[in-house]
Amino acid sequence: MLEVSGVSKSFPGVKALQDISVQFHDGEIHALLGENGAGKSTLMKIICGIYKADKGTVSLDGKELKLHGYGDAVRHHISMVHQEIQMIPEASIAENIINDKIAQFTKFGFVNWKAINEFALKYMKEVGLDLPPEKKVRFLSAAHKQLIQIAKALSADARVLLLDEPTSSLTLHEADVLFELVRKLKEKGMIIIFVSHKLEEVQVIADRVTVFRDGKLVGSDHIKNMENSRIIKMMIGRDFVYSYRGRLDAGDKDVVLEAKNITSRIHGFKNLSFQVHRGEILGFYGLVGSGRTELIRTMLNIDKCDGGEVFLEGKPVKIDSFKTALHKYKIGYVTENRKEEGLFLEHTVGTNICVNSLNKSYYGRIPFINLKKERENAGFFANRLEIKTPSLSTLAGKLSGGNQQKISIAKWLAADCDILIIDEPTVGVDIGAKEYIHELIWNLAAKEGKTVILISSDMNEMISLARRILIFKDKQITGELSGEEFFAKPGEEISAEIGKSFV
Amino acid sequence: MSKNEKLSSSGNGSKTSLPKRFFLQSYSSAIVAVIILVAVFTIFTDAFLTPFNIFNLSRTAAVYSFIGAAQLILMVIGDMNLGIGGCGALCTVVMGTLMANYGVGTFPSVLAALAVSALCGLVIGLLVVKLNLNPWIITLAMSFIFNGLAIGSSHGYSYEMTEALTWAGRKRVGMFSFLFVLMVVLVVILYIVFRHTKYGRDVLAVGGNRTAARLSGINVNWIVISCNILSCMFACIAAILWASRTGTASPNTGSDWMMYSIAVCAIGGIPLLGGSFTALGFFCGAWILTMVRNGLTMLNVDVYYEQVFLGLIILLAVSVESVRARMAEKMM
Amino acid sequence: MKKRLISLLCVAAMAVSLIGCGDSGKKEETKAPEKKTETEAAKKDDTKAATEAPEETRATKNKEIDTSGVERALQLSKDPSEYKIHVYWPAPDTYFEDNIQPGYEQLAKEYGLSVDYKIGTEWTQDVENQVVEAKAAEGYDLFMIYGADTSGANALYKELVDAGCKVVNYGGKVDDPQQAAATVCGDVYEYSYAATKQMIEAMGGKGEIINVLENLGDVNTLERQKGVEAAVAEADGVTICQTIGDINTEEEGYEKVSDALAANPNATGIIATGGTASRGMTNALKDYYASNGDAQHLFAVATDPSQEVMNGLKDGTLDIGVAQNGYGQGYIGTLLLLYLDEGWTMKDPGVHIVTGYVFITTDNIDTFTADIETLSKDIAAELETKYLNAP
Repeated sequence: MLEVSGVSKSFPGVKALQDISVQFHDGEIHALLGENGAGKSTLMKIICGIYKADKGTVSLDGKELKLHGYGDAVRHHISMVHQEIQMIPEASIAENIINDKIAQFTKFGFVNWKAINEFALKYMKEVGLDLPPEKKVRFLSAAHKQLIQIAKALSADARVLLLDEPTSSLTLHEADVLFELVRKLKEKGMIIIFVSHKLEEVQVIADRVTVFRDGKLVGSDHIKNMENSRIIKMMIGRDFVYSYRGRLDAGDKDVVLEAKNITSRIHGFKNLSFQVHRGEILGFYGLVGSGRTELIRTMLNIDKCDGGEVFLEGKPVKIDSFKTALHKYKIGYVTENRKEEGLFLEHTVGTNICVNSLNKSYYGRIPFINLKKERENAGFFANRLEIKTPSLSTLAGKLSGGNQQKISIAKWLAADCDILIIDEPTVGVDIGAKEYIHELIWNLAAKEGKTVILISSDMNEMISLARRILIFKDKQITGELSGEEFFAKPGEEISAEIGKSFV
Repeated sequence: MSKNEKLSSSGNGSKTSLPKRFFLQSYSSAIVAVIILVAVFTIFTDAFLTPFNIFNLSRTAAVYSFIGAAQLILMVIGDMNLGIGGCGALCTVVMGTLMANYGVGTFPSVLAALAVSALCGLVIGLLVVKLNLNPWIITLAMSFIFNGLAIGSSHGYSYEMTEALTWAGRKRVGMFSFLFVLMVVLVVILYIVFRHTKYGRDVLAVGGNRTAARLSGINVNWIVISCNILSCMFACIAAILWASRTGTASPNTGSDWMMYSIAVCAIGGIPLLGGSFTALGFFCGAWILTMVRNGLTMLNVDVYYEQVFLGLIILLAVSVESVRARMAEKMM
Repeated sequence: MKKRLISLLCVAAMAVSLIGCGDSGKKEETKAPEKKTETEAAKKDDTKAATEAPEETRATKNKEIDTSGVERALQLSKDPSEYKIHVYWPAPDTYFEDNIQPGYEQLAKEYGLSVDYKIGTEWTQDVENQVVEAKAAEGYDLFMIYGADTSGANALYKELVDAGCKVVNYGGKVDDPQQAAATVCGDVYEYSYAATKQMIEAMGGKGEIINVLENLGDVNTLERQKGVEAAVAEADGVTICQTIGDINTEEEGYEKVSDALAANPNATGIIATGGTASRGMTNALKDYYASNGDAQHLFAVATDPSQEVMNGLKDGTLDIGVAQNGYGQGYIGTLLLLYLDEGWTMKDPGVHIVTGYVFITTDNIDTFTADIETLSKDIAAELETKYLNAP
């Protein structure tokens, strides 16, 4: 049994954890929940020795642990699978598994590769990874990398396994494989600690749930006693009500954007077509890699377009680069990976908001930027989207996921985009911000008449926002669900319907 | 609405005290270093603050600032140009040949040199963008080509410069050299471009995150090519200034520019990975390097160990900045 | 893919055209040195014509020396084209073309030889080895080489000697034990000492001197420093107020000399004992006088008759130039190779044959080349008796 008792931890200006006591039992999957900044990750880092607690103790099987760094934790059979997976991309799978114990495989300074590969293979089998151990990690998917991390933990005889948002970059199927494995490990008697934002998966996998809010423990109970609404209430301190947002009535308005027979050789799809009406939220539902994001990127010529036509308000247009799409046709694209593709993390919030719309801050006709005007423009959108930041000159990388996402939406609004393509807007965003972003997207379409294409693999998000859904599977559009009556049905019925059209 | 006020006013940082605000700026350590160096050299040497030495320093700093600018403009987008020395040499030879052997006037010769440098930059830029090769390797290769062309076409002989050109190198403006005026103009232009123009902002955006820049409707290829052109043109201007100072155009010009250019930028607090720029820091970077080299001669340190001191002072400047940055982060 | 190919082609075309431009530029630009030498030669002819009449003695003396080549005991046993002589210089430098080359070309003319030469791309032993080894493979067996690295060169020489080649080292001394048959070069200590002496005398035996050294990685620099310091030590009224160094390019020379001038307003003399440093110093001095109204004239000594130094002497920026006898190195080094190939042996293998120097002042600025030629022929005449055993 791993026991945390009376742990407190402060950072300059923040009390990250206050007097936390939790018990993690053998053979149990224990989920830690809470909004971003609630203290889950800090607790994880204290358990595995990355941070030192200011007060309180961590003990394993009754013995108090005094850890000096993560390496020490591994020696005490505690391993962590990081959220942002840290591996050596140019090394092989086997090397990544053994890299902290290479000395075991070295004789007189020479490395025994055969032994390394055999050793790695043993643990790769245990996690169900059927790949050659010599393969370079660079070529692997996120799911495989995660399995390798678990294999590495097992190879260190881990008794405690910490998983930090393990499914955030996995597809549904990959997540299932992971859960299968985690259950197997649990049956072996391991202690598994699991951090997630997705309530659905917590319900599926966890045995016990502990909820944090603002550095304090709000509640801890068996999953049987924790239905979703109770968890959410604990997390955000208020009741979450799923409500039918109402009608959009866009289906009979003009077609704003039409794509015909878009073809891409690199992504391997042919002749995909769709239409969007003014003021509509069109959903692209499907798994990662099903062609939904790829279709958009090809249409906007971000990835090379090998054929097809695009019509804007009935007129054929030629989108030769994303620059044209933005400045000439006012199409905005909120990307899926906001950190890699959407934001300038080392630049300020203000710069990020105004990056697409600098010409709006000019001194009248002279093409020089008026810093005051720029600050006003940025401030306007920061306030409108309720971006929580100490100041406009704070670096974007310092904000939480939800606020970063608001910035990446704000910059397109600042550039007066009429058509907004929003890709996975709430991945890695805490529940309060998620709700806010949903409201925002809805209002953009319903109140301001913006045209929105929403790409998501989150079923709840789809149902609550989109009023027409295209289903993507294996680089094809396999179905379309529409009709206001359909979306007025209870959520469970709609998701069952969508599930059907998937098969 | 109170929130609106909060956001826009905190952008000015009016609540923090003046010394703290100064400390939070990335150029503060460079300015402090300049002040300390001036103080040390003034106290320990007799001739440091003589009019001639100030004049001299201001000329050298001007040349270093253009050498630094050649590297800066690429460092800001996260690239590097190892060929600035070669480009400078080639431009020197082009200008020298035209002036000394063909009797072309000063102004057209200078223009021709600038045109050649722009062509050099264009070639590098196209290679980087279209072949998607690493700029280090390309500029390294190009530096051999440029140097080879310069040495090959001049056979190592220097060219005598015209009166009009040496005038610029010897003209005084108040205490300072005319070249120093050019340096100030350069720094002011850089300041305005990176703060107040869309082009400068786009360059910073490309340095910050190339993918995001492309997905913000910025023509990344054009930025990369234009920065390479500018880099080579700055190298060319540095070469012209150098020739105007010394009165001869030597094809060996630029052999140690690469190191100095990186030193100027690094001391000036320009991150090697790109994405940010401070004009004042850059200005101080050029001055620090110039003053250290001048001051070591003034202090009459043992010539055989001079490089050790140069290295130590650069190291000190860079590590002070690093410590300041860490402390500033905590304060924010 | 197509676009990429096209762009690749475009870039390639551009690169080729750039190199093409460079080439055409080169063709035109190579005129530069030619022109210069032409005009200089023309000038020389003019002055010769002007001085020939009153100074008949010198002309006749010259004639005697020209025929001295014939008076040597050296007899060529083969057709001149069979002497495979190669001269190596480590990096592009005007000194080679201006001084060494005329020396061995004079010898080649006298005997009807053809001498091959190569200038390396950079001043390293590595490049030198590669080039020389390739030349040896081509069939050259008589080498005159400037050792790029004072210890590394010996290994190359040993290899060549073991392969049956004859090697003469020139330009600068290399470390002991010597592997080359002889070293033909000036004595840097000697000329540094003598030049400083001359300078001190001209300064009236008192004053402060700035000593400008060159590349500190070169052992010759230390010798030069010793020479200057020894001469200063002998004079009571003269001190060295500053020694600057670590100068590898003209730029550095310029900058450091400028700094030193600013630092020492009381200095009355300055001496540079290396060629590169001298060029930088000349430019720095010119600029110092032009841009600083209060500047006092410093008595200045520079080394090697480069264009900058010659101009400096003419316009009065410099007072004394030291011309090392590069001509003699070229002439005597290749002549020595001929002797060795004909079976002559060194009395003292590895001997340093000192080629000497000439001071240049405004008095002999137009005629010093003749002095150097005379000096060289004198040393050449001594070879058979002083340094060689007949076969």
